[in-house]
Amino acid sequence: MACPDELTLDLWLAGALPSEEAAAVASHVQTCATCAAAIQAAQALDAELHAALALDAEELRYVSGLELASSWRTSRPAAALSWGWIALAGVIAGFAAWLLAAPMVGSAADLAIQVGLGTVLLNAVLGTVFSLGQALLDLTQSPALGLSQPLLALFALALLFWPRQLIPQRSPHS
Amino acid sequence: MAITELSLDSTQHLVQQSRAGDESAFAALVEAHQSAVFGTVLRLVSDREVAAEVSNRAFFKAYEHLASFDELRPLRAWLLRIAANEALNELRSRRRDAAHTFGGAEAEFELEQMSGAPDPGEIVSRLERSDAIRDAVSRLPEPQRVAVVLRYFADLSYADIAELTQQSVNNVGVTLLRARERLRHDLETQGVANDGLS
Repeated sequence: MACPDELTLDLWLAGALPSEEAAAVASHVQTCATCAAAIQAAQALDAELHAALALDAEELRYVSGLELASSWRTSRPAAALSWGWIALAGVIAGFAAWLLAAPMVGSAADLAIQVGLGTVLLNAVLGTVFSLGQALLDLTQSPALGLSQPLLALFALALLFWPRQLIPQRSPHS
Repeated sequence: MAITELSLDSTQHLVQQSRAGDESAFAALVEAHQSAVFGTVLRLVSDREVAAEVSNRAFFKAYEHLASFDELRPLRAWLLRIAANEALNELRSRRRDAAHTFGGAEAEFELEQMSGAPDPGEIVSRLERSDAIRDAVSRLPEPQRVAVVLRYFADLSYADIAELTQQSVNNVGVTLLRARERLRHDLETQGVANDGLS
């Protein structure tokens, strides 16, 4: 076997070569003075980098003073209230409101239509509001990402108005 | 600082207690690994206060995900992977902020300036060789610095580094070769006496 290239030798030293290739390199370096010298240099370099990057006494004192053993608890994040949960809560609240209000305004059939329509409308309104808000945020942070959000907002607006076409108009006397 | 060395049995016992919700048991694990975690983060983010904050986040995340820790594997490597991941997230977030503030190549230039361009003569006279190496590492391009820190401070395997940085093991090797080459060149430019680096 010819001398392995620098990358192969490095991967071999790191134990990152497949076993068959590693065996071939191992048997080569045993008899190759050039590779033996390269390995020695690489190991010296590794040791030097390890030593240079280790925390010094002052840094060790600093980390000791941080008292991470107790302070790690303080990074417990507050319960994240995501927009998704807010939207879901809104939909459920809307649904409940429709359920309560419906008996006062119509029959059982009306109730079913109104509940269904109310849920869709509320969902669409919330979706539109949140999409527009998110779009504004994204546009300030990442114009490329922000482009997708107005499209979602338009889609939500379509959902807001389209279901109205499906509901038969009630006569003024009903 | 007295670094608490924990035996495998003690570690397993503390992990089990922590999993059961015993925060004081986890605090003992934090005590034993705080230098390694903080050091890894510090070498990556190069800011002590940020490193402390990120270390706290990393430990909290580890506590939250302790159920997924495989007790047959070393806890240290698992913790360091979480810490490195948090540090990389911090760097990405900083880069986004910088790109937003300065924009594109200009941001890279500004970041380079912020990291402090070296004054070779001054550095050599002021710093010991290991300080010069550390300084040179801090000036490496981010992918190379990350690989060097994860390898030479955190002692992570090439496979672990590859997974964390989402590249192949071969690419990790290539990145490290380039990083060492750049370090050699940087130290030579500064005229730093050397053993293995140049």
